[in-house]
Amino acid sequence: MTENLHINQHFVMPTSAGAYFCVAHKHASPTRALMQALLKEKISPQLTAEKVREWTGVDKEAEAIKIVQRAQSLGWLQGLSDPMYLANERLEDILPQLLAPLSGTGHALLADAEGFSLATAGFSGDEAERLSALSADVFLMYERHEPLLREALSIDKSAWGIIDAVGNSFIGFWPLWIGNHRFVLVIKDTPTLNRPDLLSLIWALYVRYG
Amino acid sequence: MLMEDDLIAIQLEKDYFEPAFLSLMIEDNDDLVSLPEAARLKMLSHYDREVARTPVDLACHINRISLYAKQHDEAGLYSAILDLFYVVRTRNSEQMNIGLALAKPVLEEQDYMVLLGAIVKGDTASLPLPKKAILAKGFSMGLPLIIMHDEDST
Repeated sequence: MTENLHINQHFVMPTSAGAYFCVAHKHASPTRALMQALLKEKISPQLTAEKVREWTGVDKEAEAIKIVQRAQSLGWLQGLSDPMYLANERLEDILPQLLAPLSGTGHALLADAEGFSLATAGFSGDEAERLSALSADVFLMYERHEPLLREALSIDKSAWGIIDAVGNSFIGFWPLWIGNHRFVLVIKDTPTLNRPDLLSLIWALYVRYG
Repeated sequence: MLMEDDLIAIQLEKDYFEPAFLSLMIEDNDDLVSLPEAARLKMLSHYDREVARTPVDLACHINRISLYAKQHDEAGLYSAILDLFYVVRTRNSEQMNIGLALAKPVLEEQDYMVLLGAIVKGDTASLPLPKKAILAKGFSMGLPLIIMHDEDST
């Protein structure tokens, strides 16, 4: 008896966890390619064998399907009966309302790689400017020491934070690798990255910059 | 000789208070009500993270629920109950009984009844995702994208 895997032609979209996986690293993989392809669409597409091969870059249909199955079992993909639509508003207008729910106290901002604040919630203008500049400094330091952290110590993470005695962050800096751009998500207090707002944020950034 | 409660009180008054080093059951500890606001918020933040870090540690859930109840923080309490349900998946657990008993006098009656109804039905995904939920994700995995099919069965 042979077990076969078949595609249900539902609409498909990454979850917040899947979107985070997609942008937390810059290294290529078929699963990341799948997520990136989905996040570039303005409307969540329908799953077909042909599209799965195209999105993953894997020619063999059975292997490509297994990648989708694994991604859903990890909670990175969701199957939908109706399509999801990207918010039809200017990115600059929606960013602050997407950032605020990502912090337990509503303090979050998005900075670019040069250290300029793109959008902020909860911080004053001056705080946002200084934190954005700090985020650029943090990642210059990270890049200098990346060989030690990633290769010698096998630490496959690049987020930084100011932490307490059990490692909880008071403020954290999460890089978001999107296309050729690196953004930094700065969150004060408890990060709540489980929220659907993270998916909306990453989706909106991917459509613009991915 | 200092009693455990005295030691806790001393620890909590220090400005270098680190919740990580504190081990206590909050449910029955009324002294926490008299803690400085900053210390209570620090403990809440600590238990928010503990629940995220070790979701199956049900004592952490009860401590978190107790703290939110003592703070009369309805949004936090509602979120903490939902997060507990996300782990235990049943109305009929000892921890859920404790959590709901702590929540009942604090939550608005209508909110409590909606929450209880969803928990009894096992359908909390239909509730709006509260602001302070750590584990609840506001969606299910949805529909299965891939199905297994036995060739011989058709």
